[in-house]
Parts: sequence; C-alpha cells; structure tokens
Amino acid sequence: MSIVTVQLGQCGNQIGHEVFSALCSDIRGTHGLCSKNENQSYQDSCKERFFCEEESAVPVARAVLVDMEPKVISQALSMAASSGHWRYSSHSHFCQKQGSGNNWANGYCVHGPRHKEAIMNLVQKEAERCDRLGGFFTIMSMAGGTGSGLGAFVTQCLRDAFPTSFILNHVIWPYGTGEVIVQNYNSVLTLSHLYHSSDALLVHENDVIHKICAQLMNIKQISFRDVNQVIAHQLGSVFQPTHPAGGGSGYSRNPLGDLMETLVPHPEFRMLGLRNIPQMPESSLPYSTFSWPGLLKHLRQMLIANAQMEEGIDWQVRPPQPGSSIPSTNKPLHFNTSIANLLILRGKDVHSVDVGSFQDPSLYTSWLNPQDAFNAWKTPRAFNKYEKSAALVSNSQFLLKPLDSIVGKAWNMFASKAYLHQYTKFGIQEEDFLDCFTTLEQVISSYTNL
Amino acid sequence: MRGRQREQHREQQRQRGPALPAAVGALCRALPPRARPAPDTLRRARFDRPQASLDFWKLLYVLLKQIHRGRWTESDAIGAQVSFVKWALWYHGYRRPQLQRLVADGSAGSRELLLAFSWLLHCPGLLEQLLARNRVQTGDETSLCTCEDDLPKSQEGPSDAGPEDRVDVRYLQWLNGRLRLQWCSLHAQHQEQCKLLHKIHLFTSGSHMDQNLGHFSVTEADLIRHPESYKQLVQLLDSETTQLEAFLEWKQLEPVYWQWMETVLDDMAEEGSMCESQDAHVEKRRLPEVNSCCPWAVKLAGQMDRLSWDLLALQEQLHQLVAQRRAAWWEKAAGGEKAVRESTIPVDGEKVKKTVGMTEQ
Repeated sequence: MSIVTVQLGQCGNQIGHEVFSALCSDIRGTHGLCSKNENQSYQDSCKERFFCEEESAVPVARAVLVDMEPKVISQALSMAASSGHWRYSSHSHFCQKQGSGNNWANGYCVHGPRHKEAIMNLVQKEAERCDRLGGFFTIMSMAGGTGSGLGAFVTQCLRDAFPTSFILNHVIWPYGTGEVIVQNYNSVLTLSHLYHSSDALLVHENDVIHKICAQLMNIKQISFRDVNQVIAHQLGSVFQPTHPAGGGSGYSRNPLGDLMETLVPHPEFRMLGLRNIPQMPESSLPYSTFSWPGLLKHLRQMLIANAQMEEGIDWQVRPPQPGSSIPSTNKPLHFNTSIANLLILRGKDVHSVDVGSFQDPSLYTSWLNPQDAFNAWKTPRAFNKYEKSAALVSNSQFLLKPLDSIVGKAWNMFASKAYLHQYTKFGIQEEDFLDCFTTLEQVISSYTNL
Repeated sequence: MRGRQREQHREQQRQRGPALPAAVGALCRALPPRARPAPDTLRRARFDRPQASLDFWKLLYVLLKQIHRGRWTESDAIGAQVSFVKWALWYHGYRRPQLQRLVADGSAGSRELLLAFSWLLHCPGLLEQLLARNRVQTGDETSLCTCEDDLPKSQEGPSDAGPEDRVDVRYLQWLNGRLRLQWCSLHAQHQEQCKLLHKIHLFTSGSHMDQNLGHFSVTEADLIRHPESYKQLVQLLDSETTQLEAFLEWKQLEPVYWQWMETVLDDMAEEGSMCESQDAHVEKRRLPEVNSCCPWAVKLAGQMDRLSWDLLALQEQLHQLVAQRRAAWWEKAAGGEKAVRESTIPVDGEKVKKTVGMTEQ
C-alpha cells in the first residue's frame, strides 16, 4: 500500500521535502527500542509506503512536485539528492519558467486547465509504479495565490481520475495576521473546493506551530525551515507504520483507509486537527523522562480545552456531566466536543497503556458512542528519538473558531466587494463565491451543533 | 401379466451380468474422496434395507453440502442431515412427497434415497458439478460474488428502535460512510491482486512447457519457492486424474445403471400403487420446519410463497372486476330494454336481450 504525495506550490514543496527527510531519518535511526525483526519490518513497511526501491541503492520518494516557478522545486530536488539517503525522481516534477502572479483564480481557472494533462500524466505514472495504490496525500497552503488555486484544481482532477482512491489534503492555515490581503478569500475558496473533492482535510495552523517553535523548542529566530520541520515531525508520527487496531502481527497495509474509516465517514465532518506530545528540542531529549499516564493526561486536556500544545493548558475546562441530556447551547464554554478521535502511541511499554480516559462518552457527541468514535493504534517501535510519543488526530471542534473567523472576515470583504475584480477577471464569479460561503456556513453549523 | 414381467426382468438381469457392478464401481470412484459410498450400499438400498439408510442420508448430505459450498463435520447430527437433504432436494426441484415423509432419525427409506440420488445424477448433473468444484486450484482465478445473501427481514438494529429511541440520522450517515470507505479499501485490494498476478505472469512468461499458456500460474510459481510442497500437489493431481478416469468409465457404462434403476422404479410402482390412493390429496408443499441450515432454500420458499399470495390476490381482484363489469352491463341492458319497450317502435325485446347477452359474454 503506497501513498503518492503531491506537493503543490511553494509551501507544499518545502514541507513535502521535510516530511520525506524526517521519515527517512527515522527509519535509518537506531533509536527504535525494539527487536531487529520489528525494526526491519518497520523499515520495509515505511519504504513500501513512501519510497520506491530502484536499482540504485537510494530509495526514490513517491512524489509529484508541482509549482509555477522552478526555484523551490529545484531546491527540494538538490537538497534531497545531497542528503545521500533518498532522492526525488528526476521525472516527477512540473513547473513553469516564470511565476504567474499571486492569484487564486488565475491558478484555478487558467493554469489548472492548461497544465492539467501534464500534471495528471505525472500522477498517473507514479500511481502505476505502486503495486497497490493506497491513496493520495496532497500538501498545500490554503491562503496562497496560484499555489492554492492550482492545488484545489489538481485535487478535483485527482478525484475525477481516481474516484475510489483515498485523498487526504494537508492544508496550512495561514497566520492570522498574514501579509496577503486577500488570504481570507483564498482560504474560503480553497476550503470549499477541497471539501467537495477530498476525503479529509488535515490542518496545521501556522500560528500554532510558530508558538510551538518559540515556547517548546526554544528557537530564537524562527525560520520557515523550523516550522516545516515541526510539521514534518507531527505528520511522521501519524504516517509511520502502525499496528492495526484489531491486533494482528504486521503493520497496517492500508494506512489512509484505516485513518479515513475511523475519523471521517460522515461527509459533513471532514476537518481534522493534529496534536502531538511531547515536543521538545533534540538536545533536551536525553535529559527527559516520560510516563504514559502523564502524557495521556496532558493530551486529553489538550483535546478538551482545545489547547494547541502542552504548555498553557486550561485545566479548568471539564467535560459536561453525564446522565443528563445537554443541548449544545448549555455545554460549558470552551469545551471541545469530538466526533471521533484517533490516538497513535509509539514507544516503550506501549501495550500496557490505559487509554480509558479517552473513551469517556462525555467527550463525544451524543449520536456516536465511544466504541465507534475512538480508536488507538499502538506501536512499540519508537519514533524519531522520542522514547514515548503520542499523537492525536481529532475530528472535533478544534477548527471551528478559526474557520468561523476566516469566513466572517471574508464575508465582510465580500459584502463591500473589495478586490473582487482580481477573481472575476479570471473566471470566478460572485455566484461561485456565494456557493463557497454556503458550503462553509453549512460546515460551521454542523460542527456547532454537536 | 406379472409373471411374464418378472421373467423379463430376470432375463435382463442375466444379460446385465458383470456390467452393473462395474458401472456402480465407476460411479463410486468418480465421486469425491470423502464422499464415496461402498457399492454395496447402493445394492442394499435397492432392496430398501434399513441398514443402508443412515449411510445413504450421510452420502446425500455430504454431496449436497459440497455442491452448495457448505461445511460439514463427521459428527453432524442425523436430524440435521435429514433436514438439510430434504430442503436441498426440494430446492433443486425434486418433488416426490414420499421423500419428504421419511422419518427424521434416518432409519428408513434407503430405496427412496437411491431414487433421489439417481435423480440428482441426472437432473442437476451431480457428478459434473462435483468434479468442477473439486478441481486443483491454479490460483489464477478471480471470483465475482453473485450471491444474493441479503439479511433476514427481522434483523435487530444496533439499538432496538422503538418510537422513543430514534436513531440519529447522523449515525446512519456515519455507518453508510464507513461502508463506502471499506468498499474503497476492498477495491484497492482487488486491484493489487490483479497487479501482482500480472507481475507473476509477466516474469514467468516463456518458461512454461505448454507453449499456449506461456507463463506460470500462481500455484506453479509458489512451487518454485516451496519445492517440498510438490508432493502434496502431485497427490491432489493423482486423485483428480483417478476421479476423471472413473467418470469416463462411468459414462460408458451408464445405460446399464439406468436400466437397473428402471427395475427399482417398477418395484416401487407395484408396491406404491396400493398406498397411492390414500394420498389422493397431495399437499401442495411438504417441507420440514424452517431452520437455519439452508438459508438459500428457505429464501426461495419465501419468495414462492409471496408469489403465490400475489397471484391469489390478483385473481381475487380480477374476479371482482369481472363481476362489476358484468353487473354494469346487465344494468345497461335492462335500461336499454326498458327504453325500447316504452318507445313506439315495435322491436322484438327478446331479440335485443339475446344480442346484449351475447356481446357481454
């Protein structure tokens, strides 16, 4: 079961490169804390998922790189090749000679259709190289211009060409105080289009990762590279091989399918948030000890209180009292109701961990019981030098407030018809905007009424 | 008359002579290894010996289970065996009521069972089906599930939904979504299987002794990796070859067997003509009580029931319609007759009535 990664735009290509680096360095490391056989299985499984073994010893990433300008792609290609441990295929990228203005509509309506055939050819070739296509993983930013528009178009093409494959979109939520003035328009357009084509949207917020870098990783001058490496670490903790939930000896052969089945069966609820614990600078790792109960306690409170990292959690927030039917308006403020949660545990003594605290029915919405809503995947092989690490992929109200805020700001701009000519010029009309607003309002309302 | 018939029978028996045991022997050898009766069982059944009944019930049970891809063990109860065989025979179209009336402990009726066995040989082609089912697998097959095993109607939902306990529609959407995603995973698995099969064929092309095939099958490719399993494969192939040879022998000697079965039928006709008069009102359908051993047969019975109910209802409706039309016509005819009588034109009322009556018919 192989996953084809589609890196879209500047953001997507930079993050994609960091993800493959993180995966590669994890499987080559000696920090596994498990038997040699287990380690070997883990390596083989990861390589089958993300890399293609070729005659040359270096594994080739199963990825398609797409961007309008050549700079970022060639950087990614050369950095990968120079690492000596993995590389990109030399035939799997698509770019144009010059960029094309920072415009969503331009990307969606003009560049997308124009380059559709070339891009889909690359994707098709990558897909055919897999013995089993386990799905697509696209990486892009939500608020960018051409990259986001093109990315939304490419996702649609993927869905048309592969109607039964799993598509997971990884989207980067922009900084609240971003520089691009039309970022809210772009975000609304991207999100609504993705909602129709993909199976799930896994979101990383730039503000949150920035805070993690500043407070947890103690980085003084935060560069994009630092942010991307934190994101890559979090994604790796989800996508590295895990044992399936029902036990069984081997690693799961259907990672995207398993993820989708546990979290996003319902077509209205597709937004996933990711929390990872612990997160600290590599230099501090040897001096730290972790205990599963402590980690899970923090993670659970992070879930309930919608905290973004393990510092500054509001411990006052409690789940509502069980036994009484509480309409959603009476729920305690700031309490984050979940639809479904997936807990991924990696490391030492993982089989003795008690995850009962996550199966509390009061954490979940009333129409889904914890047996259906909660799943835990446990793997004894440690990840990325963390002796114990836990990741929580959550389909919950995490993103309700940010989504509401973006839609609100976009609507205000739309109401005063600001900057609309940039979009109508290339083919996105006001009706299209209205459709997008409707879609997102529906999403917001579904999540609010949990 | 009777005496001469018996003379003829004995003459035919002498002519059949050695051919009959050979035919029965071939027949038994052509059956699958775990379901082979002793030829003696058939002979004893011809004379309706009770000792042969249990063996014969078991034989039919095992054979029918194989046809329907069911599972059985040596220790399955005789009651269950009897019930299954009766249902399965009914399903295949065997409607002889004497079989359905046989006792459930399997202690009698070996001749009836012999009759049923011979019918199975002929009508659904028992031997041919079994030979096809038990072929040595090459691993290159792909299957398409066409079974219509839908859930029984009275399925309990996860929450027994009464008027108060409604199920939230979002939960149903959730379940529906899971089903769809699992289907997508299954689809991907099928694609993977096809792809790997193609790889095997591609990498071994040109290596096969048979030029028409040109490549190895999965079983043959597996043999290369595990050469010690060739012994098992050879055994299986041997067994299949013996069965096929026995089948060919059987096909040549088959007419002898059917002649023999004719004598069995004659015997039964003689004896049966005395009891037949009592069963003048044969019930339309005689089946054992419903149990879970043959869901496919039970489903068929249910469908036939529904069909006959529907037909009866339709017949009722048609009768009613005809009666209404007839009443309407009579009224019209009566009205017309009255008008004619009251008019001044002298018309023969009887003639009119007759004409109206004729058209209505």
